[in-house]
Amino acid sequence: MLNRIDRVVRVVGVAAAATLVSAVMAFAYEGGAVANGGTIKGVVKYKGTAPAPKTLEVNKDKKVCALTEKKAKDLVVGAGGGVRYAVVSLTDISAGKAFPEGKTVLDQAGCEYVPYITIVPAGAELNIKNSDGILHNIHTYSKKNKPVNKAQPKFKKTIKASFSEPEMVKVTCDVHGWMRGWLAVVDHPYYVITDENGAFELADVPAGEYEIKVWQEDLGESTQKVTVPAGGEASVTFELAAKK
Amino acid sequence: MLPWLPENISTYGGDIDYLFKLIFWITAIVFLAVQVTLVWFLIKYRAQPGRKAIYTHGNSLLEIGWTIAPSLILVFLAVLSRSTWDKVKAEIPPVDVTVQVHSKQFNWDIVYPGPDKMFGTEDDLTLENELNVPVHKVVKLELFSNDVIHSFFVPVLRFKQDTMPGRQIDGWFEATKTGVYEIPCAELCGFGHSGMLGHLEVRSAQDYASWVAERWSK
Repeated sequence: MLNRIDRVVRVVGVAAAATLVSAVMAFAYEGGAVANGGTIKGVVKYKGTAPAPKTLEVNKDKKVCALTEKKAKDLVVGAGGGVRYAVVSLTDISAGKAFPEGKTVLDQAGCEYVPYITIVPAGAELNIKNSDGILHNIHTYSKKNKPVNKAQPKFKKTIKASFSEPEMVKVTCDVHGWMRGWLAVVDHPYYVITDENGAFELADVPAGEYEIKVWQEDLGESTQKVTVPAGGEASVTFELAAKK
Repeated sequence: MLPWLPENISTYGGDIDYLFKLIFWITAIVFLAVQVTLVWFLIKYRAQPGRKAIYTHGNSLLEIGWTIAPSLILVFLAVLSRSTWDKVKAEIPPVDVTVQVHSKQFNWDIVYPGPDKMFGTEDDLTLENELNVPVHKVVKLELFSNDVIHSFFVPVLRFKQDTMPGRQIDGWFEATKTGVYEIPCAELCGFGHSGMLGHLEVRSAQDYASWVAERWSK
């Protein structure tokens, strides 16, 4: 009797595990060649009059860090109302182009994070450079990923880290309090950061209907539906307002 | 007498320096005596042909002597330093200005209470690594730590106090000279410990008033 129950439990367990694995694999992104892909072009605009970016106070290691004036990048709005440093992405794409080749690098240069937002494929290696020749201490804040809290003295030119879960990860330096950056940990390559005019472009998108999302650290998130024609172009405009 | 000590700009700095110098000379003289004796014995009792080692049970009188003498010196120093300890650590005189220090890896967050003189209100101002105080005024520091043990150390004030997570520790000082001085961390707190450096700015009464007006008008 017990042997029979034991056998049933084992069979059910294996079946459940196989179902779970298949389910996970069904949602995993498949990257490859995209035939006759379309392009999504657009702009992210600010609603209203944006405040001028604050000047950051550099109060440490001034010989390296105070060579240029530093402005906050949490809300940068161009002359035409375009929002810089917003992250635009497709939320529901399961197959498309492959991730680009090459290393993912985050640099600490002039006591700023360069780039301000780094797109990092989930599970991939992030190379964290120290171009300043002084001590930095990278400290990340996230909900789904383990935090990184590592000192990087001048002799450690590059350290490595990886993040397994897609999310926006805040990056700070424990030595230089004004330093701020972001990592966009992503599970597919359809992510882009708006330029100084708030403009963006997502190319090689397989034809179809998608949900497109924008994230901006001060203004929050917004989503829209977009239909991408094969070989054609779709246009999207986001308008974000300050949170009340 | 000890020219390599940092400048003293604290009202109680002289008391601490007096004890420091006294202890320095006592230990220097004892150290010299011990080292000279050691070298003399090394030479005098070196191995020589025909000389055998002597088995000795020691000298009780000598051992009692070199236990009691240092003990008496320690008791003497403890009694002598009690009043300075009380002045610096145990009793805070009437306070003119109160500032909070929240230490964290690897910076000092200095919190000023603002014109309402209350912490935790809207007019609080937090500056990183910048402690501004008026000269010739009693400043009370409320010390905290956000993470690990640090030590708030201002050499020219002869002020050093560990900051502990989960605790508020109070200290005080009165600066006697204007200027800008360093605030290093004196308790190893992580890899960035050596870079943990703030600055104390002691301002004249007029300059301090201008600084306050400028800061809280923003």
